[in-house]
Amino acid sequence: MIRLSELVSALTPAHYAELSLVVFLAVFTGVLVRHGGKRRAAEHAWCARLPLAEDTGDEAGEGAGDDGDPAGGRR
Amino acid sequence: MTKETIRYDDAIVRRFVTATIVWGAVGMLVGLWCALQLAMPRLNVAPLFTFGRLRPLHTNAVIFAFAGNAIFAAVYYSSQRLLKARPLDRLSSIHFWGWQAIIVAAAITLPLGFTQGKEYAELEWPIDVAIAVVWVTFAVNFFAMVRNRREKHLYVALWFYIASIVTIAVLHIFNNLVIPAGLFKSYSIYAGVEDAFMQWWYGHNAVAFVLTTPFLGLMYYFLPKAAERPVYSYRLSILHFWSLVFIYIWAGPHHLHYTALPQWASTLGMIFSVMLWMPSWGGMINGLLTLRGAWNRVAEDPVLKFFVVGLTFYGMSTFEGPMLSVKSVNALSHYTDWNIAHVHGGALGWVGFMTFGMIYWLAPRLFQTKLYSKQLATAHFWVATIGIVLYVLAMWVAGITQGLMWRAFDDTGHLQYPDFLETVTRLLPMYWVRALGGSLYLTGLFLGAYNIFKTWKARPEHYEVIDVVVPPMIRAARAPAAGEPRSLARAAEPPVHWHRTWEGLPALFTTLTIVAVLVASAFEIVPTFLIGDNVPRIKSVKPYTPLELYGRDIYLREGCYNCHSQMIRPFIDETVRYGRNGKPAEYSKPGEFVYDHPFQWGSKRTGPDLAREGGRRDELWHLRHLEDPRSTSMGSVMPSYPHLLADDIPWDVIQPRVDAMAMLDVPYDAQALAQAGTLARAQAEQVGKALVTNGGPKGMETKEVIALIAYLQRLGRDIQLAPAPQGGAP
Repeated sequence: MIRLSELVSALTPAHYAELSLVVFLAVFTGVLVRHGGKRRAAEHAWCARLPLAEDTGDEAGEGAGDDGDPAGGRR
Repeated sequence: MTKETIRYDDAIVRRFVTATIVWGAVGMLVGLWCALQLAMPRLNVAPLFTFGRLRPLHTNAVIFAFAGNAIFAAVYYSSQRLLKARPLDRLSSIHFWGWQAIIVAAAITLPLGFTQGKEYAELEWPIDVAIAVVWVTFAVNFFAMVRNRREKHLYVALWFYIASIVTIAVLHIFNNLVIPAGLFKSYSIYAGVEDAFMQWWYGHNAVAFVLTTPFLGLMYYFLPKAAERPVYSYRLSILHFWSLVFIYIWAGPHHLHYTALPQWASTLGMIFSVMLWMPSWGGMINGLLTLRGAWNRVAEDPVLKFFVVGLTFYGMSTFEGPMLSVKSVNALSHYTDWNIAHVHGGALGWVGFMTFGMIYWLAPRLFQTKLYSKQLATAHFWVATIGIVLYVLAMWVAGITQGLMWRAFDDTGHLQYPDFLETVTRLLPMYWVRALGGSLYLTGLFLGAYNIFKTWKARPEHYEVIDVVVPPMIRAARAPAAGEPRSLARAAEPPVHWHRTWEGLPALFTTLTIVAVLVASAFEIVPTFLIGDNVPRIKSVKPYTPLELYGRDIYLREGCYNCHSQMIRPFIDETVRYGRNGKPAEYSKPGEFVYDHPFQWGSKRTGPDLAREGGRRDELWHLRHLEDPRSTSMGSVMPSYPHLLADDIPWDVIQPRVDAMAMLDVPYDAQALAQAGTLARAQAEQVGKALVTNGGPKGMETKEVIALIAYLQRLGRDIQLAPAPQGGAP
């Protein structure tokens, strides 16, 4: 069975850089695709209002349920 | 629906805010003293208050005491409100007092010379253990809040806090793995190239996860509060978080360009550093655009002024950082004051101003009264801003000047400035401007401290306790009915976006964050440690003798690494400068450092590189230089070390230190393992005789200076004995 030290020694330094770039780009593209569109805009708007609501115990912003939270403002 | 009542713990926030101000004043005062020492070396008071011992105190105080306490204040205030949960009072108290005890321990042990000799990780192992314990206490307290929360969604600020908490724990533990050789003496388990890699994996990510991500969490909470507007783009904050966490961890090797670190690792660090531009500026833009429609308030609100300029400095620092990581730029900037400018742009501008903005916003709320003086806060802002500009400009000029002077050749092909000292004395005017800038910044801090103190004085006799009524958290859309399978109940829940699901599942979210950090680390660390060719052995390189080992410990104790590097880069100006008799020096090879626990490559050259110092000068020159540097080098800014000529070598500590090194596979022979003290005495006799032969004083062979001289005379000697490389220089 091939040992880990043999495996990594068989790769050239360039392989590591290329592999890491591919991993990064794949992850970043995945996050970008899922969040780039406007489908979640209302939900994001609800999340963004969380800090403005906390002192009073209100839900995220006034009328949170109207602000796009699919669970009516409280999850 | 049944409501629950929570009473937030603002007392713990008040404590951390107070500690932030107090330690900020101490840390920056020490920093100012260090700055003045470089302009006026007589301000060094040996042995306790020399630049080499105070500079680690300054950096540790600012990073872990000032910024650390600010982070805790921000986390405790914002997390309680975002999670609608109160931390555990006892753990909060242990956390606060434990952290302050660690800071006091650092403030005592660093001037005493107890150090691991690794930048930003100087504290010795008992304090490191205490840090781990207190950090775990903090983590347990934080995650207890998360567990007991009434708000299921984790707001973006909390993601940054989670990433900071788990990553700092990982960094701290792995970089501080040591073999103790006494109560306050230890040796890193890593050596040379591997130690350098681990250190800057830690060092750069200390910048990332102590000085960046927690303050981004702070920004995402306090900026919307101050602007009374939601963050500009929550979507952008998601991209910001994941890309930052994923990329930052790779960037450490850019601190080691052109060193003996394998080139692939260095290149990888550079690529990811350049990529950091993207998320960093995404975060800055997200912050600044949060002020859309509120820019008119910036003119009159000191809190927003601090936040806006803090974010601007974040943008500047995160532009400059990737630029400095580009190899061709780094060739000029590394080891110069340009790095000092970069660090202080981030620390004073980003960390400092975000902290002050937060404190001014918090003060009226924590002390339940009006801020004492808005005008004074505005004066603090302007004085500090001018201070940063002076500081950073002076260090930019100093750094670029020195970098250019080092590499300048005249028309005859010789170094234009062969005397290193000339490249230091040229910078003295800039050091004075830096001290002026630092004084202004510190003045601003004192104005702020006075303002907060007066605000506290006007507090009510008893703080009003506010009970916040919240609905209990609904942890599932509905509980399964009797006999109904849980999966059926879940299926009835409304569809939820996958990231929103993660945000409501802190254990999974934390695990994913750890995976992002560890995977990136593994990509770099595993090959560095497993590829044998990374550190080819050199037969002529031998372990330090027992006396040289103790001399090296003195080198660490006095903090010589703060000003001297031990790394000849493969540049013609460096091999020429550090060569001798008209022959260029060998550039540094990885195999030279295999017994260096810890490595001592340094990050700044206020003095010349010492990697090829052995044999360049005689023992008497070193003795005179250490006793009074200006007696041999007119204009030197190095501290004097007269105590080294007075203090005896503690012979009995040498054997345990050799034994500890042997545990790290340093191949000492049987005689060294049995009679290290005797060997050290014998070598000390020889060095003492050489001193007398050169006309030096008698009776020095028992003094510490002898051990340090023995170490300095060893540097670079082994590589001279190596056979000439085939194929020439790269």
